[in-house]
Amino acid sequence: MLDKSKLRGADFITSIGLMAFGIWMLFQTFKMPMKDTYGGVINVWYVSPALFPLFIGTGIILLAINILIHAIKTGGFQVFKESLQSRKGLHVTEKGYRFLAILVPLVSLVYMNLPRIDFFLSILLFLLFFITVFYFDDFPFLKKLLAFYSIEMGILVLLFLTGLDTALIKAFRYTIDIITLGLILALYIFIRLQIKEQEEWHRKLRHALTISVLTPLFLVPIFRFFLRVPLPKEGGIVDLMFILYYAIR
Amino acid sequence: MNVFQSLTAFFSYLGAILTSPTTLLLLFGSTILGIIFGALPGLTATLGVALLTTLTYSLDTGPALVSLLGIYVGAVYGGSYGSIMINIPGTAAAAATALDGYPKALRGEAGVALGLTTTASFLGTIVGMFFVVVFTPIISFLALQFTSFEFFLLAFFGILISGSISTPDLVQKGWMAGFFGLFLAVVGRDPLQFYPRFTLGFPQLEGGIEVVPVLIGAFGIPQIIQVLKDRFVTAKAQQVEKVIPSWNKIVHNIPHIVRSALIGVGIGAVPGIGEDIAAWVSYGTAKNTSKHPEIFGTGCDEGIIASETANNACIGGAMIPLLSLGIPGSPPAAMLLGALLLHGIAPGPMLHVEQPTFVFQVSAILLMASAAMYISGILLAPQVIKLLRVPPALFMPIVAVLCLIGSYALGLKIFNLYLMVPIGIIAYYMGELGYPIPPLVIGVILGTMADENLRRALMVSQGSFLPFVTRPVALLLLIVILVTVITSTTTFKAFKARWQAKRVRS
Repeated sequence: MLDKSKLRGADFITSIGLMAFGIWMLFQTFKMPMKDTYGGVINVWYVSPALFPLFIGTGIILLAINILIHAIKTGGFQVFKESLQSRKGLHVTEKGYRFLAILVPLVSLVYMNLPRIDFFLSILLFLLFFITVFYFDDFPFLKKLLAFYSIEMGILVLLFLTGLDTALIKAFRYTIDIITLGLILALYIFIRLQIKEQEEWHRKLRHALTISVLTPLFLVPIFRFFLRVPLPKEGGIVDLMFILYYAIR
Repeated sequence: MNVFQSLTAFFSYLGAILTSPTTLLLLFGSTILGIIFGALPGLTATLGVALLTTLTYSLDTGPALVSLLGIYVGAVYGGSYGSIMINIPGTAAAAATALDGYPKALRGEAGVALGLTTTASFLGTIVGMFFVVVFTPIISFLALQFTSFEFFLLAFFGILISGSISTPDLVQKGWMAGFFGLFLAVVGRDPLQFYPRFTLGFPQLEGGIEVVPVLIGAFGIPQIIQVLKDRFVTAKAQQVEKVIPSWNKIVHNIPHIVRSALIGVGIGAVPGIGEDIAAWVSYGTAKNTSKHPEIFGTGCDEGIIASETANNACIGGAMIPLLSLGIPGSPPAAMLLGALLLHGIAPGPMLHVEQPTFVFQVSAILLMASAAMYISGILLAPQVIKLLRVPPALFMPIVAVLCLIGSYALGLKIFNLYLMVPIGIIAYYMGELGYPIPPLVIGVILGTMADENLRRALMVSQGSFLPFVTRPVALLLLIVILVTVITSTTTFKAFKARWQAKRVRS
């Protein structure tokens, strides 16, 4: 949690945001049927679907006003104004970079990779970056690796946005998997080049790689074959595991 | 059910667990997993129950419940390992234990400290279980007399009290979090007229927001961000050869144990208030009532016993409103509620009518889980402590993957993940800005109950609010709500402070 002085400044702006949210909620609520007919049902006000949202929206606005008043009384507006004045351009702190190093892989995994790339490979790529970037615990390395990973994700964004992926899959079913495998390999080589002769980092990379491979290696059979959960995208590696599974069975 | 039938049900469930090797394996496996989860800083009991909910989804209700309660009990206890060995609490529930546990370990008595926590946690869980058996049927019976008026007020009270107690800053922020949870609960088609509310044109939202992905997102993602962003570090653990149960010390501290267990059960029974608050209140009470408060914080036994008994007794306390009213008493209990709903069990007053032996099944599992925790704690503690060396950077990414696959697997909807990530990020920022997460979760869970019951109540009364003040229980709840709101306002607090100052002067 932020410290008290910063918190009051943050309260000032968040309470305004929450008030706006409450007003939006009431605006949407007033569009709902109140006392008129909906779907052949004649409404009375107390069975209206708007009743409870009205209660919630009003509550949110009242509480937001309360927080805003408290923030102003305790110098929140002043803190907010000073923080705006002291801001010099876009400066990302180390914590900010660390936050980005969590957000970038998480968002790209959920919104892009999981629905489009083989589950095993998506997780492997995600873990190899996510573990390495924090396990090495070195800020310059974190910045470089985050930049490299963002470029890799940029390539995938281009591939999916242009619709090139569909054309490539038509040509060969596992093209995207091969590209992802290439990205994983590129990421690994990039990390190896960065760590050079440092024995400690070599050991850490071995750990990261082992966990990155073992995790999907355990998860895929557990969810796909034991719990019978169809994975979001089953590509080359999951298909290969299917072949092995039925060969063993 | 009479006492004989109740005892028969309890012992038959106990027998069923003891005679089934698979169930015993599940029990010990999940309890040990819970201890590991609790011990590792950054992993919590709620997260453990959340992740295991997915893995036990395909199991029958009985074995699933054994696993979930096993990990819950184990994780609450396991938190003390980090507190004692490295002075970093494994869970928030064990933060108070560090005050006396770590100084004791520094004196070379880590084994004794762990013995005390193991035994105190065991006894705390047993007392909690006893209260589940006694009070759940009584409250269920009373709740059967409730109508929609009382249920609406009860749901609202749950959100308010959870917001009031769990807030780290202004009380309004706790309530705001609860109202935001209520907003999430009303998204989707309304249950009475099927009118789409706040769906923003997304057909996937028409069925409403699923509770379990919200819970995993709200508890899991902020935890991952916090641990990795704020760079949780591991420390060198103190040496421990073996865990010494020290029963003679326990016998000397029976009054402390009873008082702490009662505090734990009482706080656990309040909706949305977790094991951490139970432990702190119990520790504070033990210190304030002690003849030698100066020894607290130097490695005294009473401090360790007070916090560890209370946080484990809180588990039983949290189960009472969960089973009798369908209102979770703590964040892990909220997760457990989600798991029970997935297994087709709807906790609430009707549970006691539809499945009268269910509460005895839960009690038997709690008893066995506490026994498994005790045995595992005594035998495996030195091994589990070695895991404290594992840096969070290695296991947090795996937890992230488990959260994602867990949320997806429950409904086979990728859309659940699309919701889970923003909810997790919002929850993280809420935490940073002093808005507590438990009221949000309680709001999501109780929102539908509040919405349906408010409208049903008004339908019965033809739009009249009068029954809210003419029905005795409704009136009582209304008064409690008003008192909660009024006593939390700054005007009241200022008035109280002025009055106290005036009294001191006179």
